Amino acid sequence: MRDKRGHLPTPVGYVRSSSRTRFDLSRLGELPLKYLNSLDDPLALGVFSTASVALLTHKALIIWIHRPLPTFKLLLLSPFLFAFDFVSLLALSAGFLSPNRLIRATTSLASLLISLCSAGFASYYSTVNAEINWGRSMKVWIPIVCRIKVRR
Amino acid sequence: MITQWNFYGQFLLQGNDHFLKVLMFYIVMGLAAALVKMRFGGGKEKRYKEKQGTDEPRKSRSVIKITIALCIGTIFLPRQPWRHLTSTLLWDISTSLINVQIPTSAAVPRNINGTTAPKSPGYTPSQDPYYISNLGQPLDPFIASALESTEFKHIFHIVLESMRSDSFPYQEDGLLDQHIRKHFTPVSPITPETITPFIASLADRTLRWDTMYASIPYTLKSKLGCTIPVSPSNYRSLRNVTDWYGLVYREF
Repeated sequence: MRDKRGHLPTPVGYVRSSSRTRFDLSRLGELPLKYLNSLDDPLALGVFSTASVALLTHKALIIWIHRPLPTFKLLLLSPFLFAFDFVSLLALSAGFLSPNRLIRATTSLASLLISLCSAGFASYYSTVNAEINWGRSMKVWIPIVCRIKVRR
Repeated sequence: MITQWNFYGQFLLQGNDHFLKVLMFYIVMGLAAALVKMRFGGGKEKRYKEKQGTDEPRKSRSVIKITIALCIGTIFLPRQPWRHLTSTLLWDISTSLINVQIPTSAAVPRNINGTTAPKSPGYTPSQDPYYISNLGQPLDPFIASALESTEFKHIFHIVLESMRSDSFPYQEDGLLDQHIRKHFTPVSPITPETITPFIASLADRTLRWDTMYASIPYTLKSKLGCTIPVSPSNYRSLRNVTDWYGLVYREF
């Protein structure tokens, strides 16, 4: 913290030095390496990447469906819009890093489910130009399955 | 329920063959990441690990703090449409599954008039004295023969709001044509293909009727007649009130 002469920095100098460390653009180049380094197993990284792309595509499509949205507000609020997707990704990442095999398997299943459902959402949007209603789909689907079980 | 693979397939393939294309795109992205990891998983990465190993816990804590702050921030977002946009995929599916599974899992036997268990606390068909079911009636032989070996994949229920009979079917220089020319950006020629191209594309591949009837010449009662195929005047589920539009729905 002290300079070469042993003096404490001035408030302005302190803010400048702290902002330099926090917003160092040269460190952005390390991000891909950091991402590759986040998981040791290449297969787990592949599954995690698939789920990440699926989640982000799903959110991007939802925003696209609700257009036109005011651009300024969208830019301002976009970190909040992706907050729960970040939470999902953090949970998946923690699951893949877990030493417990059962948790890793569950995380892989959740990633697979995310990818499948996101693909269903995106394909539904490309076909009918509308947001899929999961509740309505299940309301139609679950009674049919129950009826078949009763017949058997 | 877990072994009903056909229904899982139907559930996911609501978007037809686009599903596999999108899924392939996701898989290719994941494979690319895995291949890059395998290709560059050597020295550079190890050096990076050694360098970053010391401050990794501090950074992960800051990421969690930022994420928590963002999650708290979502509470203060305006309700429409912003808060709706924050929902994530797993949450959507989980809540939908729970909401649907709880009412369907409560098995209540069918009543005499063919009604099923109440799906919502607001309305119970079995307790409605005006409820009329046609589930017990035989299918009309003409309709049964017409629909024999027909597989219904989708049913489109199209309601034309305030459409008079003299505007249907569409007539050039008719009242509707004049209205469109007067109030909307003109397209040439005014045909079903240019005005409603999607519905026109469906018409070629489906059963269609070129005549239609309104059950009653009031919008709200007609809508009720559309959703419940009983004449609204007999159904008596509407009551006149002194609002400007004259009619409101009874409690449902």
